[in-house]
Amino acid sequence: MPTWLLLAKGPAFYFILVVFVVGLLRLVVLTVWDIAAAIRRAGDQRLPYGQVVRQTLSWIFPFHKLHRLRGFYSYASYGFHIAFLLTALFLRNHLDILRDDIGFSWWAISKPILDVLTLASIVGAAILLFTRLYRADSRHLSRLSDYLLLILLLNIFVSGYVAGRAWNPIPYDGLMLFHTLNGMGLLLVSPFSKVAHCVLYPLIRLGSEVSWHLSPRGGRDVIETLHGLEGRKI
Amino acid sequence: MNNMLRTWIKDGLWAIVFAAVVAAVIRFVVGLGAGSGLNDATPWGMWIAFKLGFVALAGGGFTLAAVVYIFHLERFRPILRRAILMALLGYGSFIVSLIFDLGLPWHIYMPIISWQHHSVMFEIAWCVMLYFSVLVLEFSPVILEHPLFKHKFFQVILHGLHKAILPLVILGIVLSTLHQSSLGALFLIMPHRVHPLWYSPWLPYLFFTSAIAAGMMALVVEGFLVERWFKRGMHFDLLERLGAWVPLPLGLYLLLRLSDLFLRGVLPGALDGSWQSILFLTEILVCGILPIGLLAIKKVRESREGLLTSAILIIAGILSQRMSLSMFAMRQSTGLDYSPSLAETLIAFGIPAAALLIYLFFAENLALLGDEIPNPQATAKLRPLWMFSQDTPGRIIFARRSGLATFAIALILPAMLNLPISDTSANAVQPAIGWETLRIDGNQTGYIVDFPHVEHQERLTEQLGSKESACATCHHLNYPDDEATSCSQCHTDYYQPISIFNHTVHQKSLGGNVSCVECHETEHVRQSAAICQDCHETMTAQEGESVFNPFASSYKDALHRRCLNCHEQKAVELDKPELALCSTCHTYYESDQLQTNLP
Repeated sequence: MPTWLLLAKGPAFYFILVVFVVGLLRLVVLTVWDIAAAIRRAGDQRLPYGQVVRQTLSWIFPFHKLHRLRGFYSYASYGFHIAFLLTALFLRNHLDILRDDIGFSWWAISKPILDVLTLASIVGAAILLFTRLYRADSRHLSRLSDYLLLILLLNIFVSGYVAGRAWNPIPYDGLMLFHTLNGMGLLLVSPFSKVAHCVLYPLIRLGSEVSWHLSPRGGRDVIETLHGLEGRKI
Repeated sequence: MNNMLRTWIKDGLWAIVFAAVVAAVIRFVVGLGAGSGLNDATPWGMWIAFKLGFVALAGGGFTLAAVVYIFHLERFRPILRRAILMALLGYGSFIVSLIFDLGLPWHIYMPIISWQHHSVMFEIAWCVMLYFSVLVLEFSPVILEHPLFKHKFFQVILHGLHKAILPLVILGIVLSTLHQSSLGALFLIMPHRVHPLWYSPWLPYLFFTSAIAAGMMALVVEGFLVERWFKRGMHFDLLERLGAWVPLPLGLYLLLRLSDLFLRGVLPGALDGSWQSILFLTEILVCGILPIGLLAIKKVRESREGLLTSAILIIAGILSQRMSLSMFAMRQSTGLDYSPSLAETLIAFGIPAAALLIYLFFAENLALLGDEIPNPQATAKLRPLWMFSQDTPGRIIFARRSGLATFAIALILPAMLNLPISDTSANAVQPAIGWETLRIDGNQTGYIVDFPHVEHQERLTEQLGSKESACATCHHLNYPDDEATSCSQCHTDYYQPISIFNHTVHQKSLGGNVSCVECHETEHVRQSAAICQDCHETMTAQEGESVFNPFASSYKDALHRRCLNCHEQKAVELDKPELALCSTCHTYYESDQLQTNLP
């Protein structure tokens, strides 16, 4: 068996899988802890719970935000996220390894569709990376880890896409090893970085919604702090 | 010691505890036999050894209680609380590890209702239960002094406890004396299982005297550690006094041990050069007589290094005696190899790690280290107990510890659950499907070789003259009563050669355990086994080999060799070079396309 397959089926994978699962559980506890702490701390503890829940649910598929501002960026981000999740979770090859590792898997999406989706996520990730690099406000808000994580994702997409092509100039097993190592790296860092939102997105959104609604003028205060008294729509 | 180092040490202890918790869950899920290295021949192992160690180190509790309350040597009072806490944690560890050691841990209460007067275990169970309760009562005033318990209700209890302390102390001394010696008596039932250098009919007395010595010296080491950690509370003058007195119990212990061995004529065995004799001599000379000598010199005793070295040597010697008795020296006589499992080891170390953390917690929050009250700021503003308080560093600690726990669990869980970490030696072969056309896809990639089975059969029959020899070209070996065992039944691994010899099947069909001699003339090893051909006449040696080789080559190699040899030959014979090309067989049909072609 080639090294990359050994890695993906071996003890290292179990280690990373347990870190991923237990780490995310830990993050759930920490997030709930923080939400509870925020509610406790707030002077006015009356929360519009209905609104919070509605907003949280609508943010899971934020179609209504798609055309607001920076349309191009929004579409790229959309494409990137959907394509990433679908390719990662429904590729036959991934599922075969998963069944071998943990004993079960689910149905797969046919390869040609996923090929297109992978291209979409490569383009999407590239646009996200360039936006971060070339837009002044994005650049100011970015940390080193934001760039590194995007590059890690691009590594995974590109190597995964190129490896199986007939025109692939790089040795297949070598490229797949690169793909596997990057993928395992991503799983390993996700419970400790912002990548955690790939699983915990609804919970994290709930956290933001709660803190947003905590004080009666909270939202407006944030806008005023960010953009001055006249307030610009964000 | 700086704060960074303290945090690191605490984190390390927490990591061990987390790992032990995972191990504990596994121990209870899979059971005693599967979760530990213990077996019916060696039912006592590492946990018993550690348990004996815990109670030895707890010996300071009753010693100091006697010194202060019975002999009225009041100056030792500053270290009394520590000694009692040590005893409490030692006995607590004993009880916790006992839960793991029992085959049916939920029966732990049985000695209370079912009295077996003749059993040493019965005495031990009662003594431990009672003495642990006494220790809890002896220590609870320290807890109740905390401002958290300033309510009148607790103060009444505290007052009562202060009144009752003397009877409690006497009860404690009696119980622990009984218990320490009955632990030794436990080994009296196994004179033939324990190495003669450790066995002694006087084991009860040896255990009692050595517990006093080990307990005193544990207090010395504890004093040094406390001083390093908290920068206070050492009381070197008191520790030095303990050092001056310890030769008494230690000397008595050595005298009893040596004179018993001498009187029974076992002592010359100490010079036979085996590792047991070397361990014994180290215990006696380096960890017994040497520290007595060191402590006898006033200048050495009064130096920090001298006192600490002697204390560590004495503790090491006594722990070695107890662990040898229950683990190392016992193994030798059972003849069965015992090695503790990973889960067992983690639990054994996790319990003292947890005890250390509890010690630190008490020392940080209670007036434990002598007369000093801990930092008044910490006690004046009591931390609120509810969970989601921003003022507590609770969240920071939780985030830190749980991150650590994540990695500890991830490291151990897969290893100990024996998760189906994919067996990389077995690359299961998918058998070929069909008859007229065999669909071969051994490694299940979907790239199928379309093998015209009947066509080959007919052509070979024509060439070789008989159908039997035609079939035998590929079906060169068959299962009993089978005419055409398929390739994948023997070549079961796609990539690696694999032995087709099944020991269990042969053993069963030849008559079970009495059948060894049928194949093994001398000893039960592979080298002495008979060759397959002795019984199976069809299993003849292949070209270039002297005997039949029971290793079937990998499925991939077997099929390629079988097809290619003939195809290459025919390509030359018939002048059809394309016959030997890969693409002749590997036409790369996608699986679903082929399915429509199949009947």
